[in-house]
Amino acid sequence: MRVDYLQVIGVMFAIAAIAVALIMITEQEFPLFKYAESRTLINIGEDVGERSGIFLWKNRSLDLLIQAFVLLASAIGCVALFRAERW
Amino acid sequence: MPSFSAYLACAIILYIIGLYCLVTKRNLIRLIMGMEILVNAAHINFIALSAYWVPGFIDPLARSIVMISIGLAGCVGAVLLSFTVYAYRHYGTLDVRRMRELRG
Amino acid sequence: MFTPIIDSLLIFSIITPIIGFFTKKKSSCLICGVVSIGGYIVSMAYLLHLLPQIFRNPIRIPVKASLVSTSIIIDVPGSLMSLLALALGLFVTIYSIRFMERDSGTPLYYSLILAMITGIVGASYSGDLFTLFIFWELMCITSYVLVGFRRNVKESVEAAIKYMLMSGVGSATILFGMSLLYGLTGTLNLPRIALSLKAGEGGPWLYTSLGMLITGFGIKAAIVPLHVWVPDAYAAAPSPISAVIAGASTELAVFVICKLLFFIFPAIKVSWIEFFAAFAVLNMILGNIAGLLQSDVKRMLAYSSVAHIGYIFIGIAAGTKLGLTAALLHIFNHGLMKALAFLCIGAIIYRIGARNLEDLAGVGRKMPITSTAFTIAVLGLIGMPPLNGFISKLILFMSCLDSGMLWLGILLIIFSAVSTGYYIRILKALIAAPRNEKFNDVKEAPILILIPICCLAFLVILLGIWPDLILRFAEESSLWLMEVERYV
Repeated sequence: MRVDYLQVIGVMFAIAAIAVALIMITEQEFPLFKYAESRTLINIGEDVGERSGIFLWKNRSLDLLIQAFVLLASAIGCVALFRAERW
Repeated sequence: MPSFSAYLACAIILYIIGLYCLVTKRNLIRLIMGMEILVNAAHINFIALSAYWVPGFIDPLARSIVMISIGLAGCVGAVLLSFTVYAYRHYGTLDVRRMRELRG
Repeated sequence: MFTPIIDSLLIFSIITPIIGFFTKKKSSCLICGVVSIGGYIVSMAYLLHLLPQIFRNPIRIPVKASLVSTSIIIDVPGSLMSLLALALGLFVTIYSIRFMERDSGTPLYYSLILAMITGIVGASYSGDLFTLFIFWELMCITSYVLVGFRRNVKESVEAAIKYMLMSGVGSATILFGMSLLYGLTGTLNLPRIALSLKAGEGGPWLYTSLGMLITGFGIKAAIVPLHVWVPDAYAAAPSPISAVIAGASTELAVFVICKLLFFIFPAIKVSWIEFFAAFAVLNMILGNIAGLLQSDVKRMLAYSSVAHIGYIFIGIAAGTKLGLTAALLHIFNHGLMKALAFLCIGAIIYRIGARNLEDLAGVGRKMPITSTAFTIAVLGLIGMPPLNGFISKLILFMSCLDSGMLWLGILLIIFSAVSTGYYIRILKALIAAPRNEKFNDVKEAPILILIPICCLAFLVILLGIWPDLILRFAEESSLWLMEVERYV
């Protein structure tokens, strides 16, 4: 059986990295929102989906416009890659 | 509800799996999948954080960010797959280790 | 919507392929190029018109600043970077009208360059981490397609794939670092994060988040172990695209690193100063030594770009206001000089078709204006006195003396001298006697290629003789970047 050395070394590094990460998470607790200021959140009991949608459109509308433009730019990019040579 | 550290560990393990996939795999399509795994690790971290701020409430900011970011990851994948088509036409194989003509 | 600075670039980016669809193939390159030049001129005119007002107070786009909304702040440091990006975009578009005339699909090419410059301008103005990320992704995605634009050439596709994989990992790492920062502070608004983190001490998670952000942006900014895409991508891209990526995209990554370090993380300054001193030394060593071994001019310029990023990191590692001024000044100057160098080698490739040093021998006598501009660019990169490279390297050295890191200043001088070794080889090849007769019918580059080259050369000389124009801009930027209270 051909042993791919890169894969073996990769698996060892990955397991070592996971072990280090788990030790770090258990030793140093993640300071959850330690420096945060309080603001309004959405209660789980109410209609979460609709309220998240309202939040998105009210506060993050400019981001959505730029996201639409990124979609358009990547569509233009794919058309540019697959263009016919005579054009 | 499990503690937040479990979700954080999950996100970090996914990140490491994504990096492992990008370093060791040979097929170009598997590398693209590895990159998507990497992005999804960050998404899981955002969503878990939004649920654990105050118990019983969720934070809409993190959810909005993830919704927008999923679209962005899709765009990157689309452009990468377009280049995969041309790589196959030029090299005849999808093996990344064969695409080593530029050196130095 | 946004300001006309970003709006006009977006609108022209949508109009250009529509107009290109209706024109004949022969003239579509010229007509679409002229249309997209209009976009840059409108945007730059508006920015220059707003500039006196920006110096007094930044302009915020959602006028009421809140914790959770998108935030674009038109301020002085962002204007420095976006002025560089708009100027380079304008020159590259004029250049491409003649350079890309034999390629197909040029309306899409102009539209993608407009989208990329929109991404750079938006990312330099953003006041919120996620807005920065979206504009960053816009710039990245369009630059992937532009590097691999000549998709029938094998090396372009390979370079583009290598670049895409590494840069995609960078973007994902940025997103993960942002999520950790969000977990600590509950918001993504840059001035608010800065205020929240000011009082606290750094825990290990703050260091992790900083490390991930620096790694992610550092892949684009050519920090040393992560720079391996740079020679391939710069060499395989078409020359105007190399000029824009080397002059604006890499500089934007370094600018964002500066902004994050001095804005959000000044509390742990003592730690990152050591790291950046180490990165600066590594970059300088690797960039200069690898540059000495190259024979392809574009790869040589790519490695010299890596070395100059090392010089910029010296300014960051100094950590003082003078250091930040020096870093911002060198970002601007290096962008101009490197773009000029790539445009000149592009003009030579347009006439001859080769880019190795041996094939270039003697071309300087046939193309005098291009060679003069190339000489000006190379002398500026070395750091000769009447050009702007000298001014920024001098201020970098002064900032090293100021903050007590004299050894970094001495290394700066030593490596500038080492870099002379490979720059002089280019000059020697240009002015040598022509070795073979195939250069007999090589004329000077066409006028549309010469106009951007001459304008950039004029700017390089002007900013060297009269540095006060940009120096005041850079000083004001560093003043704004180091004091967070002015933004809230």
